[in-house]
Amino acid sequence: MGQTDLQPKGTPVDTLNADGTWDRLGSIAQLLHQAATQVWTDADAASADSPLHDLGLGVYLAHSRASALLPDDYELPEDDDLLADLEERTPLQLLTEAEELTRPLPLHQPDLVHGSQLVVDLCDLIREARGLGY
Amino acid sequence: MATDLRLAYADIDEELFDVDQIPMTSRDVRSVGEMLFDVDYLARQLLMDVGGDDAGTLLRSWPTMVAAAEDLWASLPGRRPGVDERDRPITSLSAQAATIESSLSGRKAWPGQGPTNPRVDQMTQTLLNAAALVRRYGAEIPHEQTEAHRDLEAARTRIMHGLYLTAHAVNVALHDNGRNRVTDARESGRRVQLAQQHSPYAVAPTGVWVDRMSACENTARSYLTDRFPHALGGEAIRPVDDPGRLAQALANWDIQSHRALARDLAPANILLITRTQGLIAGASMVLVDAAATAGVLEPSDRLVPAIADAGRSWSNLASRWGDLAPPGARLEEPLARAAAEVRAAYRQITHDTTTLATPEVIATRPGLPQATVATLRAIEAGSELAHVVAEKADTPNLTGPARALSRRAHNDVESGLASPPTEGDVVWVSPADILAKRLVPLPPPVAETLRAASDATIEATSTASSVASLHEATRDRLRAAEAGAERPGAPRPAPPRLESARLSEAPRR
Repeated sequence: MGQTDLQPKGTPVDTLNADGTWDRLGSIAQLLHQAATQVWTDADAASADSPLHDLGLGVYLAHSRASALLPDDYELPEDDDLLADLEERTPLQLLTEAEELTRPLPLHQPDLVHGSQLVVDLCDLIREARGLGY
Repeated sequence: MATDLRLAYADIDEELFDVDQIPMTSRDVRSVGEMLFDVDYLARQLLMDVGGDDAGTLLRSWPTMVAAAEDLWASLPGRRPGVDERDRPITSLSAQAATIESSLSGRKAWPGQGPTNPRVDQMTQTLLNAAALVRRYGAEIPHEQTEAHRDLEAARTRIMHGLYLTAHAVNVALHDNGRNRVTDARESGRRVQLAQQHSPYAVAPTGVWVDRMSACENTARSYLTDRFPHALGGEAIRPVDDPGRLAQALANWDIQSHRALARDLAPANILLITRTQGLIAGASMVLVDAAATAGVLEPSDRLVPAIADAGRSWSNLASRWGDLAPPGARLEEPLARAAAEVRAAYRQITHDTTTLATPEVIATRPGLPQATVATLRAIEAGSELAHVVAEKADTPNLTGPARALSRRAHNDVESGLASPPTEGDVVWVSPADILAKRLVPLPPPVAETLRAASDATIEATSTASSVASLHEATRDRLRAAEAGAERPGAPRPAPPRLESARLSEAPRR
């Protein structure tokens, strides 16, 4: 995947969005939300003690970490075609795309002080998802 | 050479740290920024692929990588005279790595002498190349200028970020290596003394390395999260593998979830609460099973099925609140932190690398009696929380995305979960609202099934709570076992007779 195929709708709010940082984070949040939804759907179809519940919660918390980095007034794009496209992907694909999107993030910026932790979380989740057969 | 028309670095100094620029020279094709991105990329790949077999090679390579990182850090222009607070993290890391290297040299015990890790070595070489490049041309960087200063800060962050990811990967490998050792020992019939105060799998000889690499990881992370002065000031960092960790995590979760629910709470937070409660139920089933296997919990043919019912109810309720939680929704930070800690604390005792450990394996883990007491207490408290969550379903102004609610309304009516409308086929959400992607009030069938799911959760959690409370006597036994574990040499209570056949009747994955 290239930089992002998610089209931003939010109005640029400051200089960080000049290089697409917020749009990139918004795309990461969408990918992770979809990944959490899919993992939880699989978990609900499995037993109550399935390890998928744990993975789903981990992905949702990573989604929340990405969302928390966004400005308060940032609006995520709403593209039905895109959402339908996301539903076609596996949770592992969604996590991998999210990780790829974090690569150019300017982690030195004060607004992204927890960006490194997001990267570690994503790499851990990818390893866990692979271990669970995704 | 007259035929080499490419620019030399001296011609493009200002682009040394620009990650978007790749200066073309006859000697190298990468800018310092590019090299640091390469380190980041390699560290990520390492973390995604790492396993227990890599532990030895990673440990041998780590000190050299830190030395190279420190070399690059020192080469960056604009260092202030004297001791610079900004440099203390890398200095601290370097000292920690130097002692690791000293311990490794001439060592015959694990990991001993042997190969290093190719990925880490590649990162080390890249850092050395970057340092050489900066030394050669960095003096001409106008570091006092804002833009150059920012680039230098970015370079330092990237260096520390690469070290943080790598240190975390070494720690993951060490834990996996410990697990592999325990598994191998059990398969060959040998007894293994599991660690009591650190990770259960921080067994000799990896345990000491887990301690030392954790210190390195904490140092790097603290720099990146801007908390380094606190860390250096002796901030107490709770040992992540404390046997009482789960009890504390669940107690904190109880407090944070109630505090959050006392306010007007967004659906995304209720989704988090219900999903975390589902996780607590699932993990409790695993722990109860393991505790029975270990002989520290009175077996019961009602407990696990009751907890399973509660877990399914929480999950069903969560999927409905999920309809109302849009992507990008913010979570209350203390609530999210508490949920993350609950997840981590359970994983410490229930998981093997990436998936669930067997009850037999969990049964041998230190801290199981404390964890079982804590998890049963959480199950007992779950019914009260279910009542509070159910009140949220009656919030008058609840809204959600039109499309999701339209789909849910039709599905619930079709499946008979919601009352069919007397007036025949009803359009619950207007197509205009769906097209405009508006947030709309809950359609009657969705509100009805949300309440029904809440009631079902109250019922299931009340049953689970009652059954869990019946284990009060058992918990006394667990507490006695816990006290015995805390006093070396103290007599342990006799385990109850195990009727594992009953437990195995519970639905399992």
